[in-house]
Amino acid sequence: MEISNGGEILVTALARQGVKKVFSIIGGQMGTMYDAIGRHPDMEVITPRSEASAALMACGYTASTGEPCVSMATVGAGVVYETAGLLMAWLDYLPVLSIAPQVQSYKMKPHQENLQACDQDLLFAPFTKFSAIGYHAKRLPQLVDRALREALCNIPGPVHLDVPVDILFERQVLTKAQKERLFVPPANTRYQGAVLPDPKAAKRAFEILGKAKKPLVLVGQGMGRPTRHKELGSLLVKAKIPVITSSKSSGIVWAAKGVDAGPALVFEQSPTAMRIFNDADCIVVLGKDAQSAKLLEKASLGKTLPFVIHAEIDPKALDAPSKGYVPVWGDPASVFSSLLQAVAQEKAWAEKVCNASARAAASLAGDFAQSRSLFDATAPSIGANDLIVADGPKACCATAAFLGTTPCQGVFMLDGQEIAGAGLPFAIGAAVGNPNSHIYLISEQRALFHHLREAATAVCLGLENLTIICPDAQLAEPGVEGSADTAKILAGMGLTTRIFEKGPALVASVGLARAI
Amino acid sequence: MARINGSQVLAQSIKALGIGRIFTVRAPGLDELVEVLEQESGAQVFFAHDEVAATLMADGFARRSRKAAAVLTGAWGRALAQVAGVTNAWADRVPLIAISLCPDVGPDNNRGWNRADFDQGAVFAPVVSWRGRVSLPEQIPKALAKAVMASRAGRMGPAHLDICPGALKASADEKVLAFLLPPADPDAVIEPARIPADSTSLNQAIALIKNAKKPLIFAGGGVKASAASQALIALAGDFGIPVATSMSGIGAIPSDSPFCIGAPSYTAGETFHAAIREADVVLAVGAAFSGLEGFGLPPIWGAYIAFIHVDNDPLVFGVNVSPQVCVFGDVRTVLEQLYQAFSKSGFSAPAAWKAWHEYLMRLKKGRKKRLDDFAKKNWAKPHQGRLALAVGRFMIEQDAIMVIDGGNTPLYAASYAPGLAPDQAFFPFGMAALGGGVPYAVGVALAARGRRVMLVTGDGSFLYAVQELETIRRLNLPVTIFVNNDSAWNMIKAMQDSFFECRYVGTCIPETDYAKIAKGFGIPAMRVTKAAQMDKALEFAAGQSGPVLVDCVTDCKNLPDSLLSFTLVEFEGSLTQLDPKKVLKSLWMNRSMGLARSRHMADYVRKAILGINPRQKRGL
Ligand SMILES: Cc1ncc(C[n+]2csc(CCOP(=O)(O)OP(=O)(O)O)c2C)c(N)n1
Ligand SMILES: [Mg+2]
Repeated sequence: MEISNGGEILVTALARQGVKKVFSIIGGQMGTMYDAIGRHPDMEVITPRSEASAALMACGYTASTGEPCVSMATVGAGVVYETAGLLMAWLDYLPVLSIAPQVQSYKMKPHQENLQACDQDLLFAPFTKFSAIGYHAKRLPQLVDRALREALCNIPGPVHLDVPVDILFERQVLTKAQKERLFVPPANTRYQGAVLPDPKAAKRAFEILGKAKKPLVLVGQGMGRPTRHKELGSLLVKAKIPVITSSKSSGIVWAAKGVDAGPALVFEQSPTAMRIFNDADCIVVLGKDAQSAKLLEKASLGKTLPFVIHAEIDPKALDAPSKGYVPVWGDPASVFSSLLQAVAQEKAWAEKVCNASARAAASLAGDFAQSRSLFDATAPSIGANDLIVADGPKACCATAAFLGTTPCQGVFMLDGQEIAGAGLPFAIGAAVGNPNSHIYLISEQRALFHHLREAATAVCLGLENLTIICPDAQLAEPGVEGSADTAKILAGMGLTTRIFEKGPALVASVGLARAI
Repeated sequence: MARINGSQVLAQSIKALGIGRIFTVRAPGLDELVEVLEQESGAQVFFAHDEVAATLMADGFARRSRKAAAVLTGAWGRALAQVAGVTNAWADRVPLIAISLCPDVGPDNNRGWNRADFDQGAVFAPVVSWRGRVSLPEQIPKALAKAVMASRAGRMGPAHLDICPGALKASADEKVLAFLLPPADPDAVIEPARIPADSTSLNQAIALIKNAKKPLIFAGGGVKASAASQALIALAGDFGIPVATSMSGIGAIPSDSPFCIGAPSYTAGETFHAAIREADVVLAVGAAFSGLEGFGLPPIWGAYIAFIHVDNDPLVFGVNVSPQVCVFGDVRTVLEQLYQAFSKSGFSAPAAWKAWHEYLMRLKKGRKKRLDDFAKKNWAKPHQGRLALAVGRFMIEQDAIMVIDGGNTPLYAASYAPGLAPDQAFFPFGMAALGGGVPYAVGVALAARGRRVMLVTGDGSFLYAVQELETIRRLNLPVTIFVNNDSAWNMIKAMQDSFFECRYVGTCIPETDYAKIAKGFGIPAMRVTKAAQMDKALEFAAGQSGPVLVDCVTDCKNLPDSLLSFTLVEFEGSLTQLDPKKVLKSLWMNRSMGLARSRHMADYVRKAILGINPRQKRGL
């Protein structure tokens, strides 16, 4: 016999599914969950300084490790901060499991003026794949499995669970047999196998791509980063076909010569780059997202479309077949794998695209162009195992332009169009998930300020594998009263800061900065 | 006919509706609109660094000034960042106007392949009085007018308007402005409709009160929303009825007034518990009887109380308590009507009322002495109560307005606060959400131009919007910040002490020097580690004309005693579910808190929770 409670059952179910990190600020109603996490050898709570960044850290962790994780916020008060951060998981296809306590089950729905309470499940419903309430302690493992399956399968995304406090605290006296029954071995919640395309459609696509002299691949969300991103990336590199990546799938073919044709962001903004795009005679679209769809729309304006081969795991995203448009239902990795042998492009084409894109990126980097030497100085210290997070449109373009030939483990372009300033918490999540990698956050100052507080969190967590580079940092002008000095602010929060004279730019880190 | 674009339509609508302050964040896609608003709307525009903070600033401004304020942000994450502030406004009934851009394509495609096209407005649905969406410039004037009206109806609350970027760029015939009324005064205070009570319910209420032996007025946030403090003080004072306030009613009557039973809600300890357990007739004014108030039901409240419920929203009647008499009307107007009726009939308090009042005042005095003595003991680190007392003194000397943030910190601040005016203390009581402090301080300082604003904040809460210290510095606002630096999310850590065998998970905050952080922002600051330095720190703070911070290092072993009441009410039976062996072990492990602290807590349990008070002296 063992005395347990709902919170502990929930946590055990999470651990059994391999969840290791919980990004969260505590609330009293989370008492039993926190205690169970504290006693679990494989689990850990990472505490940010706002629930908004808890969710963003979870995004960074998941995106960089491929592992699901939890963002947890307290009833009402915490949850309302979390929403803005969790939206990123929705927009960026990341399997974040959001969990929140609720007030007592017998008075939670509908809302009854309980302290801190509101209809949380409704708050989350518009931007999660699954938003449910756990009304029964012994059914929580089942609900966790279901939630994780929803989060990970097909195109990943966030899910949300509300659990009333009386369920979380409810005493559960379990015999050994009951316990075993409750926690069956992990269900296979991570079906990430192939969804093979219809051979007929694949064959047609093969023929078209085979005839193309100037093909382009446009990766939108791909299949969602954490699932088969790497596999798709290596197929693309093998094909040696120029690949334009939307921000959501950034880095999928990073620094691959003659393949990495830069971010969609560049094509969106630069008419010269767009001209090259319009030259293409066949575009392979792999898992479209808002950005790639917009780019396609822009390309097709006023001209006859080239051939478009469009692969999606979600058939709803496909259009009806038409002249020049070949929809293929199947997961992008499998679809592209079946097309691999077809690629037969003109000789100099790939290089031409890549070069044009790099030039356009450099011109879009704006003020950051002045800090080119900073990027040049940074590049040699970036190892194959390291990660780059760019925050803000200019930072993304500069990263593509100046670090585009520096190979590394992963690159995350947070272009700030939908979520502002996610970079710092996102990079912290990545640093927590990849203790053996160094994380370079290249952030515009405006972006950095959104979640500036988390600089203190990086210090508290002792994240020595994080370097913050702010190429447009505002520094105090000598003698100008009241002008904010970002270097001083970060130093005040306990970071080691250095001014890079040639920017001037700011480099900050926990402990001793990596040599730049 | 001249044509104007949507941004200009919005600017004219804002002007017509008298929305005088707009809080926003510079963002791509928004900058052009903001420029138009700055030039054409007549509103003052303030810039924050993050949308969460901008919303809270607008909320803070609206709370203190009772004038119209709006927050304006971009779409997606920038829009959802409003949710925290909007929810605070919703729970505390603040008529905040929240405007954001939204995905242009329309929510009809929601849950289709394009996740960017999600139903943004639906997220707000559970926490607003009204929400709407416009996609054409022609729709803007009507929608904004509706938002403003809905936000002020009845008990008030926030309204959210989504604007498609296309609607701002598109042009419309100037005629669309004909819908608008002439510009309203942006500095006009939002007055609730002064609806009087009908004579039947009023007479029933009067009869019930006159027959009472132990009457009590229970004042909620509605008293402040209706600017009814003077009327409340007059009624209570002239006819001898004791007043208790809910948490959101803080300051509705100064806690040191002779008819106020003390600090708000449970922070008044045994006085509050005795008052709501023993009263026989309760005149509840502008109070919702939410969960925190134990829904007005036993065991927190007496089982045989006859309630008279006064409110300007008939929907709250009978929802929780079932009142003997419901009085629909504006709180201030009804209180004035009651006053007139009592004075016309030449009423004066009967002897029983006086004895009841004296009894409560005795409890109040006893509690105050106990708290003060305890705080002033010779503790190694300054006691939080000591900090709160010092802060209270500072408040009086500087005629400052207090903004509170944190878990235990607000309980200390409320327990020890001197007599507050109705517009002198701010905290989002309904959501009890952390992190509002710094932005509220900005909003309140802008609303109370010239007055000093004092932020008393927990260390955990302080960093939520720390980036806005730059805003405080940039605007050179007279904000004094006191950080109760106990290196803990202490309200919750207390729970791990008491029930989870002192296993601290996610409740300890590594030692942080908040003075150093403030200095990084160019704000003068000082760190206090000993009680003896407190006077010097106050002197230092008083010497600054702009922003200043005092980081006061306190001991996380201290707890505000009233936390016990809050915990019991919030958790109801759930705590009894915990493994009793572990709870006992926790108690045993807690002996390190020392005899003095244990005795202090035991006193609270005896007097407040169990209600064991010197009855023989009551003379009842
Ligand atoms: C946004 C939000 N997150 C979490 C909580 C739960 N919570 C209530 S009190 C508290 C601790 C606050 O710590 P601090 O600000 O240092 O104040 P202290 O209790 O230590 O005085 C927490 C985390 C909350 N109320 N609001
Ligand atoms: Mg604290």
